[in-house]
Amino acid sequence: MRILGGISRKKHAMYFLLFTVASFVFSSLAYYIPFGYGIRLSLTSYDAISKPIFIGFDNFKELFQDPVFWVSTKNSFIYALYVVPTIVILSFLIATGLNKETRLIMFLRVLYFLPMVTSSIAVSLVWKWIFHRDYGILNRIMEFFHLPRQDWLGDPKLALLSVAIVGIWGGLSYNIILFLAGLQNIPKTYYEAAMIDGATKKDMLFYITVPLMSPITFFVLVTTTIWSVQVFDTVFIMTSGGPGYATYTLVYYIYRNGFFWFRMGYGMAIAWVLYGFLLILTIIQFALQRKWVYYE
Amino acid sequence: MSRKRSVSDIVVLILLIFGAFIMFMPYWFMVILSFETPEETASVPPHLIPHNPTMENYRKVFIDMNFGLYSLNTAFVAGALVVAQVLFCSMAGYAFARLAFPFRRIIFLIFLSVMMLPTVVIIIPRYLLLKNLHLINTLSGVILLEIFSAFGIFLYRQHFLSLPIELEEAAVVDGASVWQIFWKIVMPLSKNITMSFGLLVFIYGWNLFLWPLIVLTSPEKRTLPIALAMLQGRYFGDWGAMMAGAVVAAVPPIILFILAQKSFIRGIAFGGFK
Repeated sequence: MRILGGISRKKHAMYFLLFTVASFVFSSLAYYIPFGYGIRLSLTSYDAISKPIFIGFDNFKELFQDPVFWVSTKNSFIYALYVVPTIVILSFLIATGLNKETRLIMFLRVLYFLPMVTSSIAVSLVWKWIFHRDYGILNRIMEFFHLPRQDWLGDPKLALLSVAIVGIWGGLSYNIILFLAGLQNIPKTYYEAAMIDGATKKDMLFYITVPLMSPITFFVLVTTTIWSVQVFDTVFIMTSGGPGYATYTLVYYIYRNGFFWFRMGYGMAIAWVLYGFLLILTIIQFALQRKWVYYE
Repeated sequence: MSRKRSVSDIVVLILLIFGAFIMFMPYWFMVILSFETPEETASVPPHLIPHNPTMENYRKVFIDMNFGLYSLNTAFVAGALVVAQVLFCSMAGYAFARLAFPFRRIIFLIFLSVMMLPTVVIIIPRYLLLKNLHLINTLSGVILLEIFSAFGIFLYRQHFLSLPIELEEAAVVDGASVWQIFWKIVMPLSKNITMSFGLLVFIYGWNLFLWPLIVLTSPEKRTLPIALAMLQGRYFGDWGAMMAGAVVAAVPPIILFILAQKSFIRGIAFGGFK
């Protein structure tokens, strides 16, 4: 990396400040100030109207005894367990299938990419209809195969799974693109050399493609985990956390506390615990990567 | 050998087509339900194409529900975000790529560190900050806290590093200021990246949900995703109206995506693994 030559140090500094001042202001407003404020907020009881009351760690003590907090935590993690492995495996397989440039494949790619650009609220509404007990197409398909009708969003045992199906459907696109970009970076000569040595397609997949794709797989794994634990939009539209607390997730519970019951301090305490979970998950994944990620 | 391979290719292709069919199915029903009467949307079994197509649902969302205004609000938020993010991210990206400043690397890392802080974690203090600034229930409030993008700064910085610095230094010799170099030489060489990044930002802004849901309280300020969520309350069970609203929200980004597919994918692939 080289800096621009022929300009005085003073000019460099002046232009540096001119070019970054807006970013300093907007990053402070959007991240650093709320971050600091959030720490203080979590130690208070505050309804956004009367004066905040300092209560120390009471919010944190309360949440450890709050059954809804634990249900929301459990749901967020089960949701991630449904969504993350499915997305990683399916998007990898789909990407290997789409890694050709024929007209048909190019057309199919567009269909696979659509959910990424579509409002999550619009698709959640359609999926709500698809899952509808009486009118929905899914129960119609179940009947066609002589399977029993289900109350997909109304049955506490199925609701979280149904929301997760929408999450998987919506989360594939982005990761297919990442995998496709990675596949296109593998030099063709590797496969040609393997072919000369008599390798089968399966050999090439497991001994060339999979190891060379492991850094991207790792990236996909980490980002999809972080993304899925934060599920909110689909829950908000399709189930409102119900039936009962069957689809309450951490972000949904933060939202309810903050903007429904106006328990700002308590909501913030939950948000910090969520952040702690995300950091721990990321650290675990980084610690494990040495065992399976292959860097050239 | 080659025949066996072509059989497996066909199996793969059939599976891919089946998958694409599932990906597409929700869009199909979104569109056909939006042209059905309330009676028809409640028909069992559901119709695969509308028997008596009607524009009534679109009349409802545009005339009764003000979706025209909501579309404008949404376009305003998304458009303003594109302009602001492209402007500020490219400038900051250039500073980190080419300009000297004490602790420049550390400042860059501090900016990037926000990528590790999901916005939902700090959504409550963000809301309270906006309240203190008296910007609750304004579109500018929604935009203001979404302008900073660490990803954008990173993207532009990487791109600027790949440009030949000799070109810029020749301009210095000719007496151009950094400001002129940036706008007359560097940015014109960055049209592709700006196109990719701008497209990503527009679609991101168009589809934003939780943040505007919290900030915007009065009906005339709504963006499309918020208006859609509210349709559920007002037209509960009126699937035709809800789907017409969903189509209005879904179509513009899809058109943009199809028109500029390559550009969009380049943006994502770049952010993905650099």
